[in-house]
Amino acid sequence: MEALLNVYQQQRKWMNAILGIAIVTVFWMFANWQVNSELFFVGPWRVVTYTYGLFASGEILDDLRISGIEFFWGYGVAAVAGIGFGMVFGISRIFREFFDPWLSAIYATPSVALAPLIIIWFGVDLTAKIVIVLITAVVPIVLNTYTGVLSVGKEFQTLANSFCVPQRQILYKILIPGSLPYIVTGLRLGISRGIVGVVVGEYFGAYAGLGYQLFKGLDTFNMPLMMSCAAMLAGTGVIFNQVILVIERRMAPWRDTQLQE
Amino acid sequence: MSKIQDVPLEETQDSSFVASVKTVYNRHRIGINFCLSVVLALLTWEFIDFVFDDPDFFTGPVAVALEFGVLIYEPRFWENINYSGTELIYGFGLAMILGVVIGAAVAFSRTLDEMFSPILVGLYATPRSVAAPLFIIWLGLGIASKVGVITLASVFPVIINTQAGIKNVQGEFRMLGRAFNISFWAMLTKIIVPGSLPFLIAGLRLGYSRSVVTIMVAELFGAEAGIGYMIDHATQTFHVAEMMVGISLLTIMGIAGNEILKGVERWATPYRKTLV
Amino acid sequence: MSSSIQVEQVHKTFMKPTGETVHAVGGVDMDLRPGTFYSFVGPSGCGKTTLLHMIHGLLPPTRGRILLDGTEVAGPTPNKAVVFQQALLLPWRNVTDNIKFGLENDSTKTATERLEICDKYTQIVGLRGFESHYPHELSGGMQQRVNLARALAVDPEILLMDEPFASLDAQTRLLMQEELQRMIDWKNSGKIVVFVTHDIEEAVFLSDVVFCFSFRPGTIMKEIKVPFPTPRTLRVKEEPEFLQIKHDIWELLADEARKAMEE
Repeated sequence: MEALLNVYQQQRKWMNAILGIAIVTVFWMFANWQVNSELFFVGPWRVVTYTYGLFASGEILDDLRISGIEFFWGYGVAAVAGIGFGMVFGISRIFREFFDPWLSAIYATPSVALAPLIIIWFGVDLTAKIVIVLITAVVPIVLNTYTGVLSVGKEFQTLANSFCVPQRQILYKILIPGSLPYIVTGLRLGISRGIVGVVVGEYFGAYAGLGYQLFKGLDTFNMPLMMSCAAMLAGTGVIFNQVILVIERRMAPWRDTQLQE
Repeated sequence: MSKIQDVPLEETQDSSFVASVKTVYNRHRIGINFCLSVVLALLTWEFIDFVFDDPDFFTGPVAVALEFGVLIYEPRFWENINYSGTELIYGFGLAMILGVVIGAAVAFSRTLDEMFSPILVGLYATPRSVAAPLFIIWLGLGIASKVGVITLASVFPVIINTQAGIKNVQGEFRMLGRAFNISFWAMLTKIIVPGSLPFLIAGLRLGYSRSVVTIMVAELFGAEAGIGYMIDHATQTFHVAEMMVGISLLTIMGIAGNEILKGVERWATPYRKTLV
Repeated sequence: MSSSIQVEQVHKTFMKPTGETVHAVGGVDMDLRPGTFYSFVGPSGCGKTTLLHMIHGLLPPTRGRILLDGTEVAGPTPNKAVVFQQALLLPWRNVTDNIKFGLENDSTKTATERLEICDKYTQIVGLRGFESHYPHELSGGMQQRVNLARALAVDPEILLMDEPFASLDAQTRLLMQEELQRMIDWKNSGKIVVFVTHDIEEAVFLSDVVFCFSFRPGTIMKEIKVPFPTPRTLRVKEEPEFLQIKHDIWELLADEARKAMEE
């Protein structure tokens, strides 16, 4: 008993994390047992087996591919454009002061609300969905890059000036590495928004995709399908988030990362 | 040490006319640039409308304003606003209460922190509003399902910021409290609450902006009324002006709430320098 | 390579955002000779850092002019280097790369030469073994050594130091004062060193010449030559003549410091 307690004391962080997940799972199973109707609720094990079934039969692969393409292009363009614009906003005072009200408006506008407009402008094909992902994911990336550049601080600018660093080099010697933690935060926030963008985009006349499957589940009262899709979408968010964190730790070993929004 | 010698501000100018115009501009440059920017935005918007000249495709600010003028006489319009407003108040209110309670719980109890923080941080990274269709099945097409989704979407920033705020204050001032030998209650009211307030309000602002976004997502997937419902309905009938009115309403809700919270922040923490 | 600097009737006026003007430097003349260590000492807000920035070229004077070898200073040039009050090390660069920061702009040197120079100054400031450490892994004193090495690495003719020891603890500060003389070696290399501080003892200990500044608008109240030969050891601080100089300067500055405090 004492040995057991000892192990717990030494590994308490891990033990407690596992215990936490166990508690949630048991609670979930209990709720499922209480509801006892697949129309309304599905237990964790059923979600796993159902998801496995989707993969085993291969019927979800096409949906994954379509949603993947939408996310890849939408998020990719959002990352490049977002960092680019954020840099420009941060660097140029004229630009910043001039477009600041626009930025505030962009910040305040729920970008998914623009999705219907995008559909009207671009039709219901893949382009429109990519654009929807783009506009939902780009906002936090722009804003965080911009804040990051501003956070680098005048004193480093002075440092560069005093050592006669050419203006062009200030960008990659000071501004980009200095704002990197913020850019990473923006990229992380952009992921979950981009995934919401995928789902919202597929609400409007899609033929495949994880979001499409989610709505099919809603229309046909297929609870296992819905929960499986929701779990996959959520899992994607967690995985991409971790990937970015790992990349950051590789690229920026000088910095302790912490979650911020 | 005085800041003046370190931060060179505007140089003093000669007093020619150009220079005095420059000085005026420099002193009010933020305001002047703001006005120019807004005017330019509206003109660009109207110009694009002029170029397309197709009300089923794009509408300018004038057309949107006119549409707004028409809509305010329709009771349905106010019903939609009322509906979304109710969702927002209940959803965000619930997120606020739950967020502070859960955040405080994981901040004060190390065991709870170790058990649930990994899950909370994991969920924070997920697109939570995609659960909207699930909520429709569980809670129906009415307000309840929207409140559920909005709460789920906006509670996490509140939790995380509350926790961070309390931990930050505890780390910094616990020794001070000990040194003056004050009671737990005094510690709570005199140190922890005021000290974590700025974090909490930052969390509320993030949560609020999530709430407004989620109104749209939640209503899109099935609703009886609301601004998102109105936008979705207008999309199906290609009524672009009405869509833009809806989008503007959500934007206004976003800005208004954010400004209110900023006001609360200034009122509650006047000792902090306002961020630019 | 020995340059000289003439400061002629230099004034500097700032405008606050409120529109109020601040007369920071009020008519300073000085003549700085190579191979000499100068200190600017004076109360907070006497414009000594502003003057340093103007000599460096980061700020233009409002009136008057500053000549470097007969030509007016228009901006920072590679023959001037500054040691900042805060170490201002780039957090994403390790010690070697931080020292290399200024050298990277000298296109006449190859990569190997740069590394050799970095190595030399790492040795001089006593950071051997810490080359691959990041700034957050260094103590305040070590960070200031990197700050100094970065400036020395470009081998400047004019070395400008803006209260570089202000953030160090008292003991580290004493040791750094002693070591600084060896690290810079201005007598042999013919450098001009300008050292801004409000620690009178530090100024007297390090300098060949001390300029005493009045409160705003900053003007030179007195120019004091310190007779002790360099390099000095901390023992010097106990000699009666040293104490006398220190005492005289304090007599001169006390009223000005009081004005600064009441500001």
